[in-house]
Amino acid sequence: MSLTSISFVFIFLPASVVLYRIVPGIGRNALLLLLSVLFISWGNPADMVLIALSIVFNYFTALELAHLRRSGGTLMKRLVLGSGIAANLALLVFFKYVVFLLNNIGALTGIQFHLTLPQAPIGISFFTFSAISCLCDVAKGDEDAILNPLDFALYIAFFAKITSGPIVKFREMAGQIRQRSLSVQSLEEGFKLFITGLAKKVIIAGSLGTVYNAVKAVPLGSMSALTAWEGALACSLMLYFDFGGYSDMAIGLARIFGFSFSKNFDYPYTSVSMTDFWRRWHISLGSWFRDYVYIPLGGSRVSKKRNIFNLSVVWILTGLWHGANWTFVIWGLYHLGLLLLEKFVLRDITAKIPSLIRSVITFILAVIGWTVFFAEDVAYAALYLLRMAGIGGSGWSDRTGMYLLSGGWILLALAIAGSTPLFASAAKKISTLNKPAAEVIGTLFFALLLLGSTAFMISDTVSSFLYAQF
Amino acid sequence: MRERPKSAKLWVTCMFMCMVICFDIIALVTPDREFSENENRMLAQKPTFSSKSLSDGSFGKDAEKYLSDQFAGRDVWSTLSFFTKNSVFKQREMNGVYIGDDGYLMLIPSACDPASLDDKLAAVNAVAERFGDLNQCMMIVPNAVTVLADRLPQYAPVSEQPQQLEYISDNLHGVKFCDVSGTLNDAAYKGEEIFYHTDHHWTSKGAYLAFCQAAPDLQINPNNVRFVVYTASESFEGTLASKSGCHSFKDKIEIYVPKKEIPISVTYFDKDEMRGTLYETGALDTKDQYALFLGGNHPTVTIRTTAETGRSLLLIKDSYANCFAQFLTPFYDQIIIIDPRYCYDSVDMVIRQNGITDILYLYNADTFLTDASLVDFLAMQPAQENE
Repeated sequence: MSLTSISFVFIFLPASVVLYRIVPGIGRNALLLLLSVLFISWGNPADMVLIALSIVFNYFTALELAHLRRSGGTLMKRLVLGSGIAANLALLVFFKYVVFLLNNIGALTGIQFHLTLPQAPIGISFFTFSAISCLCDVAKGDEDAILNPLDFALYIAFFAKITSGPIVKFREMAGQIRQRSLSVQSLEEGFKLFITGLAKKVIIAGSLGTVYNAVKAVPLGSMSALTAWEGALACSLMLYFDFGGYSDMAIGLARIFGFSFSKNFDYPYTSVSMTDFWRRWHISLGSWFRDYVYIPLGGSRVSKKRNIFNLSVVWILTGLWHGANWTFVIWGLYHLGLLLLEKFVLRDITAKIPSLIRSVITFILAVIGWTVFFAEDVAYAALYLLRMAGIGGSGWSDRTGMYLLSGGWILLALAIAGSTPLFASAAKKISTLNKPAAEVIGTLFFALLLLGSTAFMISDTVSSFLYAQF
Repeated sequence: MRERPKSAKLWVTCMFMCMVICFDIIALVTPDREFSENENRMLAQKPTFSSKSLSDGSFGKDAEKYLSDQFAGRDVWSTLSFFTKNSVFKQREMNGVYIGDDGYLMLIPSACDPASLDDKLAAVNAVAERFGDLNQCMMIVPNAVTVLADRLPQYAPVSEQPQQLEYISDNLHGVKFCDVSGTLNDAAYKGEEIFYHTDHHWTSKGAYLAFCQAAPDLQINPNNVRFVVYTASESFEGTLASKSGCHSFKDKIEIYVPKKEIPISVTYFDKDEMRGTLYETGALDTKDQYALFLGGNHPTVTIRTTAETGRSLLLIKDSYANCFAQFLTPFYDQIIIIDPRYCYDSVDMVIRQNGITDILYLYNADTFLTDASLVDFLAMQPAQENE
């Protein structure tokens, strides 16, 4: 099931909220787990089997690690932790990277591999990272293992976060699984976040997707710089509204059921540097890599050379985590390069530049990165970047570019404004008036967002089925 | 500093729950629809539950389609989404349809493959060579994006059809090319309704103007017959409205009936039916009102008349010809209408068996440039198969 499906928003969610209220406190985790099993199995029940196996394995590994930590078996603990992490990574590599690896080996050696793998289970990149977080936190003693297997299963499989995160660390969530309270305020905030996220994803990201697809349909041979930049902006903003919107929905859902997850995006496109950008973009992933890769490698409290090595490892892995394609590796290295430049070369210079200009530069650099991220292969990415620089194609501007701009500029402008705190601070100003009128207006606004999102969710099925008819 | 007590109201929560549950109840109590007139398609029905459909995940997918298709007020939601995209975001095209000026929806033509066009022209020329004694004409009608170019959204890509039609005209041998572009362009410029606003077909008016223009090539004199124009419908909403989601215009369908009507018989071989009229008035009660003309597309339709001109026409066509046939009946004893997209006969057989004297290829440019079925129909059959 997807969070943006009719079945989720109109049946699953309201039913879950009502059931959660009815069921007494002690059964609530079991209820959430049951709902999660239903949620995962809805699209493909085989996914649930695999996730269940992962849960069982990690549950016992975590218990063993907790036991070893208490009994002081350091070497054994390291061995168990190492094999636990390796098993989780093996699952991830098997489903996500084996074909990529074989293709590359094939390209180097000339040996052809013919391998068809089953479809990767839902959220594999996310739940394996959650599991690794659990093993590390328990081994380190940051958090105790969860004894109740149902509670542990909920940590891995909670439907709010299973499909696309956020990758909540074990030490952040374990305590909340054991005990949490549901205040009226968090319920209300949860719904507000959920509706906002839904609208961001379904209305804004969905429409930006149309703009981006129109650009992608233009052959690179005749693409102008104007068109290329429109596509780059559209895909950058689409990704932010899609993933950011999804994260809002997930965090809102968690809040509806009494959990409190940290935010995953914090207006990344207003960052004043790349370092700042990565503190605001997909925060849960960045923080996972920091805690479980970068710091264990020694972090920055090492020699400059070693620090560069540590950063390189983190960024190559970050790139690969996003997908099995060289474009993602290059994208990771691009960010590594920018971060190293900032950290070691430009630190004194950037401090003198006004923050607005730094924000604009950071945004443009991020946009350039996303064009590589979205390219189907390295050659496409290279040509696309040339078009953005006005080299080849139809020069700086052409009729196609003007046409796409005339049908997309309002959406792009709206999306750029929406990726700054502009709307949120306006809403805050209105709400601090604390007049009944402000609450009514606020509620009407959310009602409008919900209505609009529903319209987009329903009409999107029109286009996908239409071609069979004509 | 004293902190203001935090408000603990559940406005948005209540709004969400009430709204969602209300829509669920409405969807539950309203009976399921089988067909969506607005979208011109069958709607998903209740999925069947079985251990198999559950285990392979198809139940979940079907249930999602069902919920979405049978959602309360589905058409209103589509209109709301169209309004947001068109009026708020100012999107200029929806799902392959330009939202043009004056309420015109225009189908964006598909890309043409030059090699397959050459194959088609070669096949047409080969037929011309095999049957050199027949009067052969081709009319390729430019589409709305070409004729109504001034109503396209600003900066929309310029149609390549004028060049493509010129290429076709230059590469025909033994087949006359009826160039109707100028006539249609002039009429459109004067504000005549050449195309429906909500459908990809041309109007009877457009077809009539093209007919008059092409008459000399067809070797007929249109002045011999006077037509009376009747309005058959004023509530036509065509496929482009469904495709784009724009439901803001209703078209008028006109029919042209010869003042001196002659008896005709229309035989639909696929339905094994014979009628005394070109018009299937029952279609006016359905979504696809353009099917008024010859009941829509059929593989083979034969029209027999009492015109007594001694001429027999083979009309090889797409749906643009359906409303064109009404102008032809007074001039031929027999008209064999073949739609190669659905017909698996061969041209040689049809010509020999029916004593054909004239051939007219009538297509709209988009179909002609992209549909490959014509080549198969025109391919020469070995002689023994014909006998």
